[in-house]
This record gives sequence, structure tokens and C-alpha cells, in this order.
Amino acid sequence: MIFDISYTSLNFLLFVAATMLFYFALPLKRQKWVVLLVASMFFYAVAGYKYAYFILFTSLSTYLIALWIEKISNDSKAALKKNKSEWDRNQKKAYKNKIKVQKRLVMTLALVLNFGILAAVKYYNFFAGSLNDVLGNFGMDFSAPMMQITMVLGISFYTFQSMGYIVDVYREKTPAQKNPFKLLLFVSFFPQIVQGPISIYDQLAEQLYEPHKFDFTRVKHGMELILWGFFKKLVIADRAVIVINAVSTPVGGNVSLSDAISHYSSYNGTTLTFIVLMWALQLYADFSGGIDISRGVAQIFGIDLIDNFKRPYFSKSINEYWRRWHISLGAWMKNYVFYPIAMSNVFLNASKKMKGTRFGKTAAGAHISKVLPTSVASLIVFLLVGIWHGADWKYVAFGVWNGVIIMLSIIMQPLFDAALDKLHIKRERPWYALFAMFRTFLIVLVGYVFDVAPSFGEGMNTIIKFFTNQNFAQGIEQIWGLQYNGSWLDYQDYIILAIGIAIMLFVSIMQERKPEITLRERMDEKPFALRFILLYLAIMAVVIFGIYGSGFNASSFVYMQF
Amino acid sequence: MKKNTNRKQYGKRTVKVCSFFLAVILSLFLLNDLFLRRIDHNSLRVDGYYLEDKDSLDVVMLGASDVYTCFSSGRAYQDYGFTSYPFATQSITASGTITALKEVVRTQSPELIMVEINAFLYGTDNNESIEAHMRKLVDNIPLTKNKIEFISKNVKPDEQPEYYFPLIKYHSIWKEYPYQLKMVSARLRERNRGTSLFKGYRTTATMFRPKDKVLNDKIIDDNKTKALTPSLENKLREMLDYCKSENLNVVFMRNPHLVYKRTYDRVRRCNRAAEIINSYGYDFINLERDWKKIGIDTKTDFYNYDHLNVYGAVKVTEYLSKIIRDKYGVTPREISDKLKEEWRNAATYFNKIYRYSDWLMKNGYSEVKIEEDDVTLDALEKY
Repeated sequence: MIFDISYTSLNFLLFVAATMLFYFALPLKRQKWVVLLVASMFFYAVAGYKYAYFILFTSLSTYLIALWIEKISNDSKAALKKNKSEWDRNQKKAYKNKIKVQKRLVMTLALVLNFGILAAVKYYNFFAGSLNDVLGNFGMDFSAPMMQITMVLGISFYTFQSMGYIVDVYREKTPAQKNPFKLLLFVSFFPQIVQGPISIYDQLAEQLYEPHKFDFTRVKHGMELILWGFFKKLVIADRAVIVINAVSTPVGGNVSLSDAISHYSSYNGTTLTFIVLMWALQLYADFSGGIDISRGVAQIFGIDLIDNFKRPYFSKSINEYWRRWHISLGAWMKNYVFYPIAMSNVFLNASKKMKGTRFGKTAAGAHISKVLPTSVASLIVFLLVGIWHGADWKYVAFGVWNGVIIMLSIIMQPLFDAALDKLHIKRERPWYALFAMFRTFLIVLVGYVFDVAPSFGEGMNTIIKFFTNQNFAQGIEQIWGLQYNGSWLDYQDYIILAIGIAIMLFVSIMQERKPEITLRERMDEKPFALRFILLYLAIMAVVIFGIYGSGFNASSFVYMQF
Repeated sequence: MKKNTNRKQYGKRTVKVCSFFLAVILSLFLLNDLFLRRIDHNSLRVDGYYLEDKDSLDVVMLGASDVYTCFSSGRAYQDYGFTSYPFATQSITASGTITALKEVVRTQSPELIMVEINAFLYGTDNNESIEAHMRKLVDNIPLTKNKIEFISKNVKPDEQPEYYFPLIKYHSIWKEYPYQLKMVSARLRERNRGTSLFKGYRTTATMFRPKDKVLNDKIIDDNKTKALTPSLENKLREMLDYCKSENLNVVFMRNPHLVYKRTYDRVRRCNRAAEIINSYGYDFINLERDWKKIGIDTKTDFYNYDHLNVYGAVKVTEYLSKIIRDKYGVTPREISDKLKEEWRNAATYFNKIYRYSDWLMKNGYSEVKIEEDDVTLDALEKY
């Protein structure tokens, strides 16, 4: 980074203000998108200049290959039209298949190139390290070299977004973009480059290229959303992360992984439960706060980014949780991984085959053969989601855990339904809804253990400690002692944290009760004095209680690393 | 008609938006300047300096903590009639001393400027980059060319905004309330008064008993020298060049300390600094070496190794004031009746401080800090 331009920095706010000024003051309406492109290039140059050639390569390859795919489609259509009367049905079918294979090959080229870069940058060292470990265990004298590359800003996000566009062009869902600079803007739009959301071309592109007039209400709502994001990130998430760091890092700051693990192991089950709860809080406040900032900035320019979160901790099943958490990744996976797998001939045939067996004729067998493609595709999707999160076995475990739970929940659904019927429990009952939320949250927490623990092994130890090493009094002592362990978090911070959680919960409940209208729109109906006071208090809360400045070293957004 | 209604609506909205941002900016200004910033005796002293009327000071002293603990401007005014002020902050850096000198040139026209050279005598350059030591001065001086120059030369680029907006650095000071409120109140009271009552003086009521062997006898005849660090020597020369270029009447000095083995090198570096200063044609007064002539008792006159208590301060004030008057011919300038009243008040306050401190030390109290905060001012009411 040339200078700090992270979303919560003063520089970023000044940068957004300057971009706003240029954007709305530019008299050339049709060229307004150029301001966004220049701003995005400037942002990337400042924040990730070292590896800027990666994003340029992805944009260029995506641009060219999309045009290529479209050309094949257009040429084939022209050929079919031309030979409409000359070719018989079989000839047409053969030609169409040939074109399909051609298009698929070209699309695969784009996917291999770009996911290849992503894999090399993100996962090469992980696989090389694992290979070295395995070969070392067999006493083989081989060492795969490690790559000296750090994080490429937003690589997972822009690669997924670009490849989604390629697949959409392949499916002829969207036409290929003819202007390379416009495509570059779609790939690199600065509010979403750091941590998403992963947008679909159809939903975002035209919004980017359209000229937007200054709209007071939109700008105001955008700013309010940014403020809410700042509150979640600086007041809640960055306060909670201090507790988490104090547990995994011994006094003295940066340590090796093995030191962190041995330190982590010294806490009991109660403390570790508290830490995982803190992680759940931090992860949500951090990620959703960052997304709010992104959406708020985009909204100022008249662009609606997809909302990545819909109160995920209110979910009543793990399936629902993944429809409410990181929605854009879930939607991407559903569109581009889940459906192609679940609807593939291999899976459909396997399902059919199972149906034909003796087992398939039983009630259970019929159900399993029906849901088999869905459940196995879910497992694969979540394995990929785990790997997407990072190059570590603990993330693989995180993915497998979620995948297995979803797979089991699909397969065992009739059993659960029957049990509920037998017990005369109605799903609509409020107490059952609360129970389902609590149960889902517990399942999510177990998944988080692998996220927060320094390693897969330590994650397993933590889960064992949940059940075998609970000691409340000792836990309280250990949690209180964290303030002397490299963190300055004291009782006042815990009070602020509690108030912050209460405010976030209150807002979430309000949103949950009327999801069709945003709180900002509801606030517009309130008297000016009340809005004045609320906004004023929110700004002061961020300024006074936020964790920022060099003394505190506000942490980077968690999802920035992905 | 519709146009008029729209215009009215826009007007109303503009007023609302402006009033909101005005309230936010005003609040941020208050937080930045008063409620969420580090206020200590250094802030009150530097504030006090800027509250002095322009061109009203006969003498200004620059340096670190040994300046404002050694010399009482109130007592000097009472006995010798000249006005003076210690424009000094705790552990000031060499760069800070140069900035302070430039600020003196900008704000006053003293007959004599005295520079205590403590900042140039460190064995390493570490002090120059200690944030707290930089901030004690620079956070409290107004936004001037000198401040900007100091920040751009001495602070890492990514930390510079925090020097212009200390709120970024200090916003978590809310945890120190209600204690912090006392300091806010002290600053407000000083600003409302328009003058510093203590004229920058600060002390600790303690009679220090050193554990290490004191070597003050040895330094009287020790003329050996030890090199300054290259960087600090450069800064000293930069300051001397500046004095020359501005044709300033400056005297460099060293205040008394309890010297022991660990700090003995400073004495020899001081001798080397004196050589450099003299080579530029400036005087150097070594009060550290003159401690016997001053009448300092090493058993009763210090509150720690580096600082004199109120007994020592009275002796140094007397000794140095005589030099200022007799050797450098400083004659008190004409000041208004209002200022005279303020200076008489400052003298009265120093006498109160003396009596209070004397009472504390004689009654077995130790480490009681006496500075211009509300706690001390309340305590002084009885004296």
C-alpha cells in the first residue's frame, strides 16, 4: 500500500468525496463512468499496486475470451440461418454440438487461466507445503519450492465476478462487453474490490455505465449506510478482535504459529466458548460492516450493490443461514457450481440408477435417490466454499462440516418431519423458532471453531474442550485476565461492546420485522430533530468509541484476506 | 408557483444539512481541542506561553523539564522586575527545541533567549523519535509554518494526520474521565483568565535521597569532552546557524543535576557542546558546574536526580536572575498595569507554592506534584 486507503481510513473518505465531486460535476453525462474507472484504477494503484498486473490480466483475458465466445455463438447462428434449408435435423444437431464443444473449450480456457492464477497465488504454497510434509513423512528427500507472494488485493472476488461473467456470456444470458474499459470498471469497481460483494454482470454493469444525477436522498442514504458500517467495524468488530488476538497471541505481539497454538491451548472450554462467540460477533460485524461501507459508497453514485447479509444469526436452519450469510458467494456458487453439478448427466443418471434398485423402491431409498444429486452437490459446494476461505486444512474442515450438516439435513428431512409430527410440535410456534435459531447458531459456532483456531488440530481440541473442560469461574478469571495479555481492553470496553451488540440486535430485529423497507427509509418519516440527534449520536459514537489511530492499529477487514 | 415551492424546499433542506454538519464540525473541534486530547502540565505551560501578550517578555527560556523546575518567573519578577517564561516541555527533543525557538521569534521579541541544552546531550538519537516527547510540545503549539515544518521533518507520513488532528490519536481518552475533566477544567480556567498563574513553573514536593554515589564534586574541574551523536551535533549546529541568521541574543546553558556514574557522560558531552557553542561566538552558562556557587545542597534541594525541588529552584532563580540582569543587562520593559497585576499575582502564587511545598516536605509528604491544575490551585488557597 502506497498510503493507507483502507475503507475505514480518513484518506478513503477524502478519496470518496473527491470522486463524488468529479462524478457529479462532470458535464459529459455519457462519460461519467470514466470517473468511476479512473477512481477504481487509482484506488487499486494505491492499495494493491504491487500486483496490479494480475487484475489487468484477468480483465483483459475476460474481455477477449468473452468476445471470442460471443463470436462463436454469432457465427454459428449465422451459419445455421444460412444453411437452414440445406441442413437436415441431424446435421444441425451435430453442428450445434460441435459449436457447444468449441464454446465450452474457450470458456474452459478462461476458467483455467484465471482460476489457475487464483490457485497459484492463494493455494500453491499450501499444496506445496502439504506435499512436502507427506513426502517428508515417507522419508523422501524432495522439497517443492515455496512462492514469495503475499496477498493480491481482491483476487478471489474479482476472479469469481469475472468468471461469472464469462459463464453468463457462454450461456448467452448476457452479451459480451465491447468496450474493454467498461469491462475493466466492472472487474475493478473500487467499493467492492476489497471484499465483495461478488456481483453478477447483469445486475451491476448497466448501473455502472449509466449516468447518475446527484440524488439527495440516495446520497444521504449512502452516507447513513457508510456510518452504520463504520459503527459495526470500528466500535464492535475491532473491539472484539482484541479479545481474540489476546487469546491466540502471547504477550509480545507477533509469534510463530506453534507459539500461538501452545498459548491457545492454555485456556479452558468456557474461555474458548467465549472466544468463539466473540469471533462470531467480530466476523459478522466486520464483514457486514465492510459490505455496508461498500454498498453505501456505491449508493452515493446511484449504484445498488447486492446486500450480502440478511441477519444470518436469525436463521432457523443451516441451509437458511447460507442463504443469509455472504449471499453473493452463495448465489455465485449456486449459479455456477451447484446447478451444473446437480443437473449434470452423471448425477442425474446416478439418481435414476439408484431409483431402479431394490433400495430405491423403498420409501427411504426413493427419498435418498431423489435428493442425492442435491445433497452431494451441496457437499462439493461447501468443500469449495471452505477452500475459498483459505489455504489451510482448518478451512477444509470448516467447509466439510457445513457441507455434511447440509447433506444430512436434506437426506434426513423426512425423519425430522416425522419426529416433529409425532411430538406434536408445530414449526410455526415462537419457542420452536427460537430453539431452531439457537440450534443453528450452535452448528455455525462449531464451524467457526475451525475459522478462529490457529490450526485444524487446535480446532478439534477446542471442540473437545467445549464438552469436557467447562469451568465457569476459571473461565471468567481467564477472560478478565486477557486485558493483561497484550490487550488494553478493560471493563469500559466490555460495556461499549455490550451496548454495541444491543444496538446491532435492536436494528436487526427492526429489519427482520419489516424487511421490505430499509431502516433508513423508515427514518426519513421521523421528525427532523429526531433524525438529527440519532445521526449526530452515531457519528460521535464512531469518533469517540471507534478503534482507530496508530496506537490501536485497526485490524484489516477479515474477508480482505480471502 | 411550483418553482417557488421547490426553491423553498431546497432552501429548507440546505439549512438543515448545513446546520447538521456545522453541529458535527463544531463538536469535532471541541473534542479535538479540549475534551479528547492529552492535557497535562506541558499543555498548560505551552498554552500559558501563547497567552502572554505579544512582545511582553524580557526573557524566554527553552528546554526540557529542568527548565521549568529550576526557575520561577514569578519570583524573578518579584525580585528583579523582568518578565520571563519557560517555553519548555518534558524531555523536549532537539528538533522540538529548534521549533520552540522559531515560535519564540514569531511571537515575542525578548531581550534574551536562554536555551537549556539537555535535548542535545543524549548518548543516542532515540529521544528524537519518541512520540510522546514530540507531542508534548507540538500538540500544544498552534498550527503555524513552524509546526507544519516540524511535523513534515520528524513524523512518518502515515502518522502525520494524527498530529494535525490529535483526536485520531487520543479519542480513547474518554476512559480517563472523570479525572480528565479536571485537566479540561484547568485548561479552560487558564484560557478564561488569559494568563498562567504559575508562569509555567512545576515542581514535586520531595527531598530526594539518592541511592547512587553523587559525583557533583568531581564535575567542577572536569574539562574532558565526549562527542555528541552526529545527528544531535548537526541539530545543535542547525540551531546555532539559525540564531546567527536571525541575529538573536541567545545564551546557552545547563541547569544543575545530581550527577552519578550512569549520567556522567552527559557532563562531558555538555563540555563538548559548550565548545561548539563558544565557537559560534555564543556564551554558555554551566550552572551544573556552578552548583556550589549557587548554594545548592545536594541532600535537600532535588526531588530526583534531574530536577531541583522548590528550595533549589529559589536558589537558581536568584543566581540566574542576577546574571541576566548584571551580565546581560536585561532591563524590564514597560508593561501595562494589567500585566503588572498579573505578574504580581504570579509572584504571589510562587510564594504560595513555596510555602505549600515546604509544608509538605517538612511534614513527611513525598512525591506530591504541584502544577497548575485544579487540585493544586484548591490546595494553595490555604497558603
